[in-house]
Amino acid sequence: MLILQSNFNIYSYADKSSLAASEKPKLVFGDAGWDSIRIHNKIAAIIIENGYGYKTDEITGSSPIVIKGLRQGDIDISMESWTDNIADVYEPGIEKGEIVELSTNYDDNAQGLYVPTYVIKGDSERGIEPMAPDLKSIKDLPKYKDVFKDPDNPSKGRIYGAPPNWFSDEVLRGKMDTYNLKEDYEYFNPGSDTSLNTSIVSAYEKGEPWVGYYWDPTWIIGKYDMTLLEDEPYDEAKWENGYACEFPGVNVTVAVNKDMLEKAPDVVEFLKKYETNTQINSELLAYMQDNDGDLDKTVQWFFVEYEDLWTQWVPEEIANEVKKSIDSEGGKFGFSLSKFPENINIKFGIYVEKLVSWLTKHFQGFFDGLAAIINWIVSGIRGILAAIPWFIFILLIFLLGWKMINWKSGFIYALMMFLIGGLGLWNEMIFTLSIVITGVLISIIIGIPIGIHMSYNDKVEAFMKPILDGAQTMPSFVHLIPAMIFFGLGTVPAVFATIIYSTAPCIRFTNLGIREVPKEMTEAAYSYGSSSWQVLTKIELPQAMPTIMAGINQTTMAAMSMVVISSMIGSKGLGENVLIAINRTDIAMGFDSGISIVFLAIIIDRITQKISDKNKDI
Amino acid sequence: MTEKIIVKNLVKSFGLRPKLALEKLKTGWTKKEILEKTGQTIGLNNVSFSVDEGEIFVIIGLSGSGKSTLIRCLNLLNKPTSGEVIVDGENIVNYDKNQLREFRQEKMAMVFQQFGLFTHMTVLENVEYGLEIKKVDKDKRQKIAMKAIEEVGLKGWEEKMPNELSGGMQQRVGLARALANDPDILLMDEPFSALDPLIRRDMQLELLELQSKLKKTIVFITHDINEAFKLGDRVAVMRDGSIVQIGTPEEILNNPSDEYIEDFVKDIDRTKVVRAKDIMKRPNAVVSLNAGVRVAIKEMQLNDISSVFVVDKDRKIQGIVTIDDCIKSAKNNKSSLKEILKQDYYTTKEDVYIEDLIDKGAKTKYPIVVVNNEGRMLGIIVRTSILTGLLTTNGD
Repeated sequence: MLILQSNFNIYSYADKSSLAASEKPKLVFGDAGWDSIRIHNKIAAIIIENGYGYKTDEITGSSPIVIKGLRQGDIDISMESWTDNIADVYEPGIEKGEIVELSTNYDDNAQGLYVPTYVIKGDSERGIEPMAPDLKSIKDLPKYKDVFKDPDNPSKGRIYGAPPNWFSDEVLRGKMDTYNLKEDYEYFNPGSDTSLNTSIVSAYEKGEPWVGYYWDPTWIIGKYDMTLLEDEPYDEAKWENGYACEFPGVNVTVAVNKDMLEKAPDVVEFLKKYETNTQINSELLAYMQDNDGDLDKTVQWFFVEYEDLWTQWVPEEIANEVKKSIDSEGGKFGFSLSKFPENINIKFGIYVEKLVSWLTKHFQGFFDGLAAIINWIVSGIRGILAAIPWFIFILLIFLLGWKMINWKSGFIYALMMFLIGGLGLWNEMIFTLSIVITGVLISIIIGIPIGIHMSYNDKVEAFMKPILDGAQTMPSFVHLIPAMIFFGLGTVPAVFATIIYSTAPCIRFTNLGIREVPKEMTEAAYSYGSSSWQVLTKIELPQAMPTIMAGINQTTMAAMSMVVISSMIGSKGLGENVLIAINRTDIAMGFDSGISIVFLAIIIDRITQKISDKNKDI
Repeated sequence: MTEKIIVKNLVKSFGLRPKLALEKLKTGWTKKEILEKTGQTIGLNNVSFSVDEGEIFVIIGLSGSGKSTLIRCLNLLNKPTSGEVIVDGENIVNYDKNQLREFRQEKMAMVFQQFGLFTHMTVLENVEYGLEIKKVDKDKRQKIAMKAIEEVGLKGWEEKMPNELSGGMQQRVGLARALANDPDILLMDEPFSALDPLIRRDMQLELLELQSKLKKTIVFITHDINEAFKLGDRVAVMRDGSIVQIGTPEEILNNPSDEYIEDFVKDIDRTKVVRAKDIMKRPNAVVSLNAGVRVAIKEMQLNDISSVFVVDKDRKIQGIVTIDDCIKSAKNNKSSLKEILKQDYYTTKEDVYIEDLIDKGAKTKYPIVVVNNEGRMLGIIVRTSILTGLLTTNGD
């Protein structure tokens, strides 16, 4: 059984097709990152490779980027284009003839505001009482604003919105107005669909209330018991008038780049017939979720289970080729040594996940307290920064630059600040700065004592070093995940992720700095009868100060870079604009917010660098 | 003299299992065996000695012989694995944290090879440091520190940072820092090794001069045998974590206890070890100032010499008369020696090394007179004995 399971892999080409494949072009699928599009990609890829003899490949990107790629010809095929959600990239493509829509994959899907079902009905198994027992329709929401309390603004509830620049984002904002939800709810921008997922998972695992945008078919809906809030039945007139009804089914299309018509007319014919429905998709997603997300297995299951469906998409001889290859691949590649055996199945992530969910379960109070403290600091700092009139702020930057370096630098920094304001990003800059400052302050408070401890004890150093290496080399996106799980979405998890990422250099440099203090110097201090505290404060820390300051400089820069990334989990500031620009592939906006981040980074870097250098003069 | 420091059966073992090494040492394992079988390094192997109050006790050895480990056991910068360090009758090894801090603040100060100055503090702050730790108030400790800075000749440099000073000056700061604390005991860990030879010589002389005023008990580490013999009232030679010989420089020079020490002292420049008192002779002919010319002539005839020193009734040296002058005076019937006294002879103190007498010996035609501080004549050194002194001591 194991062997049979491990045999199935679309990336292993059958011998007979390899000759043909070398003559035919390679077709590139767009992978916009969710599971159903991957399933469709793989199904189509298997048919194309084995039936038609093309090679295939995949490019991953966000959905607007996939469409952009489709228009430019970097991507040949998009199996699941949620046309309404990406209309401003998709439609111009159709109009200009860059994209050709071949078929509707399915259009009976659902979108709207969901809540976990336990919010309405409770969950006796998990001991969850119903929190909003009479919640049925979107119009009932104002009654329950206290249930869905927004941590950043507790006087209102929070509705998790659609990812920025999805069409549904515009629809939901419209509904906020139409249904008068604005008075009672904050519309929260989750930054990306990934973080929207996380906010659901996090709330669901904790049994907390959550209300927000989601859509079906998805694994979330397959895995979790979610209820779609009712809305007026779809009516075009109502829809046109402030979206005062439920979402119409979105046309999810199979679209290809125009060159496909010439490059692979046979494949185009096949894709024109490609059609599924929401039920099939949900079944596939559920199957996949039940099988640890095993894509190969899911697709294999599809070919067996839905043979009647897919054999209609292609001529009989092609269908036979595909069937044959599916059967024969089993025998052929069963013992391939070049392929790592799939039945050796090691999973670290599971344990980390278990640990994190154990932590959230048992230390929720702690995390809530922590969140309150972080929130308090950030708001405090932001309050102070925002209270300074802009011209005074620029003047202060000038004076700081002048005093630390020279008047020319001061002038340039002031000019940079002025430009940020001129670009209309002043508030965002203040937001970013307050998160950076909070992150750095907390990093220092945590990092220096740990660094000191590490320098005093070789065992602690040996223990900490791999952790620090890990924290620094782990892709910074990964830090976002636990931050989201512990703290949800918003500013607090952004600060938290920033701290995890940026404390490492502070710890490292403190350790290094203290270890570098000449032994005779500490011996001298001890020989005059100093206590360890006196040696630390009078000798070691002052001696290590230039190194520690260099560490703080690095910490600041790390915080700066993290703050941008953490906009993906709903942190406001300059990073949010960058993210929106990426989603829109908006060059102008991307450049404006990008250059603002560069300016801010330069100012912070030069000034902290200078503080470090000044300490070096001793 | 009282014994200021007594060290008894000191063992220091480095590594994770010092007690194991100690047991094995007791059962007769060698250092090498212990290192191979337990991974423990024996830094000090059963060291015992004592230091008298007011003496300079020099510990000499090659690098790795354990001398730095030993001096750090005296103020517990290294905690001995076993054994006793008794200072003023108290075993400091058993001190708790506070007792130890107080002990270090009051009794001992240390001077380091690389000076161990705090580079982020001014010279003055460095010198004040020990007092600051003792919680002496600011005015008072600045006054004391300034005095110590003056004492080592650094007046005017107190506001400089240590890095702005030359090596020699930096070590003066180190010395001033130690002196400011006014400790009974100075621990000096190769204090002059990092200095160039000329500066080193100056510093050695200055240390001796300071010591003649201050009379501290000094434990001095060096790997330079010349320095050891120049400074040390007594010298301990270390090898492989053990003391192999203790004695005065002369004792060690003349009776090296084994080949190791012989090798060690082979290269020694004897002119830097042998002193005037080691080679002087009792003057068998002197004349009292009150005696006449004829007595002087007779004395010279008797001893078969051509000149004779003249002393007063306290044996204080007054001058020298030659046989020629005496005979001339006698012919003129003048009997007073005063008129023909000559002063073109050299005197020296008994502690002066013969290296410093070679020059005088070459210039003078008379013997060199060894006198004490009051000018009383202790002996004379004839030129030949300076040269023979280079070959061997106790020539008579």
